[in-house]
Amino acid sequence: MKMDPISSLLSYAGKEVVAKTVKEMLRKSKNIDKTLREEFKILGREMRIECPQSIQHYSITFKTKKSRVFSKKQKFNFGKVRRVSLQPIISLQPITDAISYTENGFEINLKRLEQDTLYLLEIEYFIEDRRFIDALINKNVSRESFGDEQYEYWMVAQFKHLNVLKQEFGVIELKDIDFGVDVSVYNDIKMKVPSIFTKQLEVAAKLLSKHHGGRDEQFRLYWQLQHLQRAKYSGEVFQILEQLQDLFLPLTFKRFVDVQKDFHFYDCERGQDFYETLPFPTWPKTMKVISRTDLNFNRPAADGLLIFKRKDLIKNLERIFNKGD
Amino acid sequence: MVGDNMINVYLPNNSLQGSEIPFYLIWQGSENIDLMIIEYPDDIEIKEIYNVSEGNFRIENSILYISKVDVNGYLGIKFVSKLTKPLVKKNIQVKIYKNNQLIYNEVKSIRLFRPEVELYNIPQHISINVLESKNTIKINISDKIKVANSGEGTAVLTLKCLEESQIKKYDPMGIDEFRKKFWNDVEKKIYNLKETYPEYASLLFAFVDFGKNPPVFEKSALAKIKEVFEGLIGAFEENEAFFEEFARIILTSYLKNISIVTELESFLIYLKSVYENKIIFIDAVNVIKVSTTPMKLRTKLYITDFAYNEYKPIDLGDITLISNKEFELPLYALFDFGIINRG
Repeated sequence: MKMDPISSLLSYAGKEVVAKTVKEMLRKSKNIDKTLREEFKILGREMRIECPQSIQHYSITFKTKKSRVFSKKQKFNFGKVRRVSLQPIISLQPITDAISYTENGFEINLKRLEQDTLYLLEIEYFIEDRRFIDALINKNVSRESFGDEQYEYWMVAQFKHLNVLKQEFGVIELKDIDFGVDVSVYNDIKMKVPSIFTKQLEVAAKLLSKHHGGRDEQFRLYWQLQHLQRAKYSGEVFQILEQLQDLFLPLTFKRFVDVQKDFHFYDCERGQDFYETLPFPTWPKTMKVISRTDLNFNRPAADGLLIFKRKDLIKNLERIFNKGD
Repeated sequence: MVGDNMINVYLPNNSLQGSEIPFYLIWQGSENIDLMIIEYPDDIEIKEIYNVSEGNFRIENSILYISKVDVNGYLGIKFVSKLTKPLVKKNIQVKIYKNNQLIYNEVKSIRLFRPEVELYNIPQHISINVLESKNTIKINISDKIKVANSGEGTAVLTLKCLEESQIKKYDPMGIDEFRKKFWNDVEKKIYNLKETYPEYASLLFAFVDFGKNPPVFEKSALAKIKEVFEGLIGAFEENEAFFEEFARIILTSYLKNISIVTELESFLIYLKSVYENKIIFIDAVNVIKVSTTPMKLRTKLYITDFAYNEYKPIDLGDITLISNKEFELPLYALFDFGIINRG
């Protein structure tokens, strides 16, 4: 179905997805509140959405009555839960045997609760509509950094629809919204690999390959290798390649990036370039840096800055090739 | 009265042309605003407006008028830029009125950049002289195709040999064998994966298709690449189990087919495919066969960038190649991607 320009401009299709999911989330939370109120006094509530796993996380603090509770169990069959935890606020030790899971929700064994005590109940539901996060948040990152001196990449998260989140208890927090930025590393590697090393690689690759030519070609390659063995890096090709590969390990590479403003660093991995036909890049042209941020009703947009400290990477590359100088 | 310091306007400093540009305004929710006017340049258009309902805005001649937002305190816009000159600085002006009085007026600037690939020399004849001594091979090439990128954006280049070309490019190394085996393996496993995740079946098949038949950078292919890659990233984000399964397939197929040679060759290809002035030449692995008989090379250079923009391919015309002996010449050897001053 083709949308008219106004509907597309205001992303109406997404709004329906968001409204439907929020309605479902509220149905569950309101039913939980209603059931709890039958026996307890609710003191506080908080709703948040864990974005990476697409989970609705609802927490309620409530107080048990001074008098004895007569019913044995309270049923909360409002949808399949992912996890439920109940703990007294003072000790924060979960009372695992107070909760039992059912086909369509969970039950609390009221006999396990103390009288006149404050409790924290936390419930997690999967958000079924997988389009929800994308329909609710616009995410943009810079595709490429500008200028040669310092590589900087911007990131922005902003709500597409805010009024659907306006609820009676105020804030619905969206936690850990993921952003992937492709940080270009190819230029620095290319520039720092000495040509003699490239030549050694070429000869080694040809010799090891079954595709090299006849006797003459083989003889020439052996001669070249012999000649190159007198040169630098000889015999170290694989160690050097290994050290280069180490630079792209998340634990190493994270030292070369700094995430600032409303975002924080989460992880990094080898980037996937759309023009590569090997989808598992042995030698990445980019590193994908994952950063995260939070949004809520009172903070409807956030911006972040990722700085790639390329000079530090260059220093490390120089160290690999200048060993023993 | 809303003061300047109570309004936060965000626009990134720079953006690759053809990509989306976020923009937002945040002000104290208690402040009611009568009218917001956002004036933007012709090279940019509005793609989406957030926190505004129908009837509360209008767009006229690249000016957006907003009389009311849904929830006070926030306005979001997603712009998209068009391809224009290689580097331009553009302004977006924000004016805010309260009780018919202008209370805020600010101009935000953004630099829009892209690659700019230019050809400086297309020889009609190239002679290749292969000097073989007992121990070494030296190749002299009489003239080279000189290509440079004077833009700030990275250019991704690929060479397509046309039907009428007597010389065709091909992949001579073990990496091609690896690639074929790898993709055949992936394809087999993807068949099983689509049973578990039928909702991603079309994405998976499109992904394998790109791997087996690398596309040329034409509009339809670029749009498809963008759709598939963004679709896959979206699918990974929404379904972790799918991502894990997918990653396992790629990894096991990779490890099954990789060898030391591939490791070395892939690094060589890597080094030969990138050039100093923001050029990635993805044909670095390919070679052409030259011989003592003059033969015509008829090619087009296809260009794209990190925003999947399509640029007009550059026709390199007829180039006659002749060599003093039959020889496999790396394609990149025909080019000079020398640095030119970008300043």
